[in-house]
Amino acid sequence: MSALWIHEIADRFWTDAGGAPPNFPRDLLEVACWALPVASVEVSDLSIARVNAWLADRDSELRLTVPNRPLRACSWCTRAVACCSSTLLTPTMNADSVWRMSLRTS
Amino acid sequence: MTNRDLLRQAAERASQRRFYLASSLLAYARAERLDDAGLAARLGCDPASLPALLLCRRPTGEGPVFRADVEAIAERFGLDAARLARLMRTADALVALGGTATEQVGGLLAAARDRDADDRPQDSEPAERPRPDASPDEDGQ
Repeated sequence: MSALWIHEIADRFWTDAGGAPPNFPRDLLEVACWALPVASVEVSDLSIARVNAWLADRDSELRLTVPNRPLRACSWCTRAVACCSSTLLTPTMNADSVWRMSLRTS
Repeated sequence: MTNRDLLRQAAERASQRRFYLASSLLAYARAERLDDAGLAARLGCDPASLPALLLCRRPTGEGPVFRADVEAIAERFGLDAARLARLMRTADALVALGGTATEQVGGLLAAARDRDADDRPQDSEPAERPRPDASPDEDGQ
């Protein structure tokens, strides 16, 4: 039960990524940067506080203003002048399945 | 002053224009607190060739066009193309993030996936600073 447009988006992703590998599971993170303006960063013990510390370390004024809690992943999409970009933070030592799930839902 | 020094100065000036790769890579270096040697190490390139690399035109296309541009630069400087692409995406994300925070907070969407507290030890760091810039959805979408 999947709509045709999902297949079309998937086909376009793999075309832009340089072709779909024959075997599963496929490593999305390795190829996503070719097809999408997305950056992925690993952060140990990911949490709201860790995200804010990561932002502060990079002199960003952005802060997440929700109560601190542990996270499996955190992503944001920004649209600046002539630039659209996404960032995905995930914990280090994350399972491959968590990476894939986090990337798909970003 | 050597030619390399002159090129490095030119790259610093070029970093003010998004046309040049310097605008992305030097912003990344500043955010990551890297000097030229550190940036060259991240890129996997010879430090001597870094100024020339910074003065390349920044790939701006999507999909195959982006890939072709990155691969051309990587081939010219003997870099790993995938490594360069990942670093460029991170650099552009940092640049976009800075612009969003200071100019247009409304242009940001954030989401988070919660982790069960007993999945891994709860972070003991203090809560975030109270600055109402962005709030990820509670359900992670």
